[in-house]
Amino acid sequence: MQRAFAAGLMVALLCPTIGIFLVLRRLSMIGEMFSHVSLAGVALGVFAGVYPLATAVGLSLFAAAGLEALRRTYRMFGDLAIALMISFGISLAVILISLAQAFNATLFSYLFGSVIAITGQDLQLILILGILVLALVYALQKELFIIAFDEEGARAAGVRVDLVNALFVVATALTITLSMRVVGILLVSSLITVPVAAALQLSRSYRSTVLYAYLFAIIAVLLGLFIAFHADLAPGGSIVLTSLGIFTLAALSRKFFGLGGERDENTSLVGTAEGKGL
Amino acid sequence: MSEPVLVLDQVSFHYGHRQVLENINLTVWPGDFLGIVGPNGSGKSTLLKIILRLLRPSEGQVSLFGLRQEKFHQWTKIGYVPQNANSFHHGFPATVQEVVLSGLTASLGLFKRPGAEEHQYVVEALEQVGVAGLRKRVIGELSGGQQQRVLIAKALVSRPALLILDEPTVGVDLAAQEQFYNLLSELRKEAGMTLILVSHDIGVVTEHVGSVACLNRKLYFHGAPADCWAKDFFSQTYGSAARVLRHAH
Ligand SMILES: Nc1ncnc2c1ncn2[C@@H]1O[C@H](COP(=O)(O)OP(=O)(O)OP(=O)(O)O)[C@@H](O)[C@H]1O
Ligand SMILES: [Mg+2]
Repeated sequence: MQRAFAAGLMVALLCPTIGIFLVLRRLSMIGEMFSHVSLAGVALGVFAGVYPLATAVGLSLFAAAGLEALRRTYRMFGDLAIALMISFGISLAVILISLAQAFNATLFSYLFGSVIAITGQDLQLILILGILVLALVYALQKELFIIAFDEEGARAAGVRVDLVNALFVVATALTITLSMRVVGILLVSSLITVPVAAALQLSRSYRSTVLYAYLFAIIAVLLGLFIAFHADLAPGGSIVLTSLGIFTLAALSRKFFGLGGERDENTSLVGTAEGKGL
Repeated sequence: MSEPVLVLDQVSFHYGHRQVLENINLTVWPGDFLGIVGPNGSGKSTLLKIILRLLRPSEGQVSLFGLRQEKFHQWTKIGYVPQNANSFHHGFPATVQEVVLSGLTASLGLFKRPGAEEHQYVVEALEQVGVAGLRKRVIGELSGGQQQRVLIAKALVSRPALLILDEPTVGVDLAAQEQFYNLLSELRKEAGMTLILVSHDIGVVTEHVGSVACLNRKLYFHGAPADCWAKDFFSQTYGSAARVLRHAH
């Protein structure tokens, strides 16, 4: 229980850290990609009888490298490379799950998240790698911002766009794999996007977007875990529903109290499917 | 004079099999104000991207500030305002101040954060382009012309020696255009900045620039605007485009 809250707090910091840049670059699909690859990684761990979180981290990093390779070698649209990697992740997961005959409680705890299944080993891995990711993204903050705003302009100005992008993909892979222990594979990418979407309803600057996103994610995770614990639910659902509740409140307060100012509906960042290429 | 800011030596460029630039030779000296004109699709933006090394020339050699481009690393000496720069997503949650500050990213370098000095630069750049009052506004909520100025401030904030602008006055009203060209001539006189500006609005450009380059795959003319009018090079550049069009049908 305490482990779940400690891990949850880290996840609540990680998801918006990554999410804000994924949303601003309209690359939310990358969240889906790494969660599907993580599922394959978990299945591989179960199948091979090794620690599933470790195989998930390994396979996600492998997929991150694969994504980079696809984008560079074939100069593919960001979207298309991601779609290919998603297909790879799911199909591999399906095969490994059937091979391992792993439709069991372990797998379900990875799919839907868990309050009780988080072990000391999980917590250790989540905290150590989590701090690493936070430090990395904090250090690359201004580069990630200008790349999100105008990638070509950043490149022309001499920003090391390829290096920053590659590091960011690794940070994303780690975030999703670590978060899946708490919110579950099926709902990780929601926790990446929904708090940011809620923040965008109220924010009047980049800075305030970041602060709101952290605030909302922390509330959603803590409240969601609390509900899950007392009602004996899988936490993924309660966490993401809570964050959707926050989103609704944010959207309504913008509408009725004029918070966050007026923006045209069609300029909303969230929900546009077009990829911009990483 | 000192060394040239930019030298293009027999530069050609192909997109796949299609030749877009052919054997371009061009030299730009410190303090020059060069206007590049040509019809749509004539290769103007491509040429700028080659200068900025966003694209590599198929043949030929580019030199910047006396160094061959491969050996040139001081990209912060060059400010760039891309074509359709204000086509960023208008829901982007950033204030004018935050956007302009991002123009200092490369000159700060990895891991270094902006401090008081950098914020002062931002204020000065915004004052230069006359939008200091909009500092706290969200960029997507400004008018097209205001956004354009903010993006120019973003390019100016790192105090480049060479400023490259691709169609900067599209969607800017006439009065604001006039102000914009005044700003450019100030930058050139006071800061000694070298300017390269792309436009297909020949009339306005030739009034303000020091020299023009007429581009349509090849460089048809490079020299004083007056000579260009006199020798009727414009109809040559644009006329050949018309012929290409006729072939296509
Ligand atoms: N990414 C690309 N792939 C293939 N061809 C391209 C690409 N970008 C531009 N072209 C082609 O190269 C030629 C030159 O394009 P460029 O954008 O440099 O023209 P331009 O002079 O800037 O035109 P405009 O006035 O419309 O901005 C055009 O024929 C265009 O179709
Ligand atoms: Mg162009």
